[in-house]
Amino acid sequence: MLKFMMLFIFISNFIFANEIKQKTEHIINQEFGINVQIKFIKYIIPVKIKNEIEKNSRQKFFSESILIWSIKENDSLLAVGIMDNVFGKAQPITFITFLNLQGEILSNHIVKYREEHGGAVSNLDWNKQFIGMTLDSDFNEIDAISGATISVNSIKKGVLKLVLLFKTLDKTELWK
Amino acid sequence: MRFGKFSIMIVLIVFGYIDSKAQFDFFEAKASIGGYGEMHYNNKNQEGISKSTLDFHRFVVFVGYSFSEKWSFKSEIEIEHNYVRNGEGELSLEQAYLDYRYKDYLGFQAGVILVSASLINENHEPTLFFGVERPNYSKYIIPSTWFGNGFAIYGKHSGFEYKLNIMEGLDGDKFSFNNAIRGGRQKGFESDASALLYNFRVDYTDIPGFKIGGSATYNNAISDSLSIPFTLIEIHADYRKNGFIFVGEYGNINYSNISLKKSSGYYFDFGYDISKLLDFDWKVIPFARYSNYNTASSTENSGDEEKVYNNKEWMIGVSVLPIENVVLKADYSQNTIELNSKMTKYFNFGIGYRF
Repeated sequence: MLKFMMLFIFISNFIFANEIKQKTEHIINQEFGINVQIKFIKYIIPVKIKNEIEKNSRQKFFSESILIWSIKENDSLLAVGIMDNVFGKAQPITFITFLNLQGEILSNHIVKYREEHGGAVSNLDWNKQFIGMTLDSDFNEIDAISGATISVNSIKKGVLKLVLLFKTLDKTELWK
Repeated sequence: MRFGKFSIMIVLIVFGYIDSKAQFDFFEAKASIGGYGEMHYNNKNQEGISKSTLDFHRFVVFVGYSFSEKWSFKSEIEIEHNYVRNGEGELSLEQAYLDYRYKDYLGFQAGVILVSASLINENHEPTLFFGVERPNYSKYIIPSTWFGNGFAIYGKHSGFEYKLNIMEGLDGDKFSFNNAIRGGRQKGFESDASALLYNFRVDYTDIPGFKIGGSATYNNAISDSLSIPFTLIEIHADYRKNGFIFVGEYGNINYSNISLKKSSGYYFDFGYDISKLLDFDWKVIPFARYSNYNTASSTENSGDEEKVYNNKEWMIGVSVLPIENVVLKADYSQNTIELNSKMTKYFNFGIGYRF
């Protein structure tokens, strides 16, 4: 019985836990090709940096940590994906922002949307508006979405937070 | 030992895996709190007689909890007009439901839920609509906020979002010529469940900035005498792009077994965010509205009965958002009743917030 219970827990965890990971890897392969090397780490945001970013973006981080995905090609760092959650109306929205080493947004993707309403923020065309944005960009230029005002505002601020955070990262440490 | 090394190995694998999953798994059980509120100054001028009121119309608190990736709870508690006394004011539980989201295309809810009809019934924070008060269409044709006890199935696929609600019906004895179905809401208070209400809505949302959809609602409303079947069909559209905002809704209610046969109405809003033109940090959105609603557009006796509640309304106004979650509003409107061409003028000012 114990064996079956353990096996059940193992299998159920495997099925549910991998949804976000698999989807993220799929996005990375679509964006950067299948030959890239991928690695992710959990990054605890230093308190001082966290407070400063929250103040500048007017949005709290969902937790004290985020996930950083490093994408390497031919042994050189190609891009960095930062994954975070922001609150929609009540549920977290998991998203990932890819940046090149100069801090310019290469793309933004909604990895998991859990709210009943406002799912249109997952739309690829809407997310394309973030491409090319940097710290100097005006994030208020991002268009609204009918019926998804709260999610749109959350994602806009969430992406801005990650661009601010990227600036503070030591990129040479990411692949170690 | 019977379980021996194999069991220990499984335990280690399981806990090792769960630990690695914990590092990756990007979800943590959390409570969330939010809310909105709005205070209004209303001035009504009818044939030279002016009346002004100042009212903290709505104070609402959302409390939610995400148990897991799939299970969550959401609630909305509202106080209207500051407090409740002698049947005035209102304290209500407008939403309180468990949500199980199996996949994007299939989720379930049970508890106090909202009827999925119109743009505003499910999204009614003051930052989201034009005008200090909600559009009269969303009061007299769609009796927002329309909520009750029930169950829902929802999901989205290929740009379509759908929701089917099966919930408490309405009290047909409280339908009226001047308020249509509004008085019939049971609001979850020990609801009579002998005749359930069926409500189905579908929206297309895959074009950024554009939402279009409609809903159908049927209920064989309870009554002390003959039950009163009614059908509500509504369509709605919302477009927001490059500072332009268009909103339009149309709804029609058909009744059987009573002298009231039909209620119908529509409104159109057009607004433009001029902040970009003026290089303002605040959003400044002047808007105009035209609305026509008639809670007794068709009656058994026809004639004047069909004109006395036929309202035609023009409104101009402005919404100013210093930040995304705070709005200052002002509007001026003229409402004319078809029967006697009596005109009422309104000037409203309001502040609203959400968080």
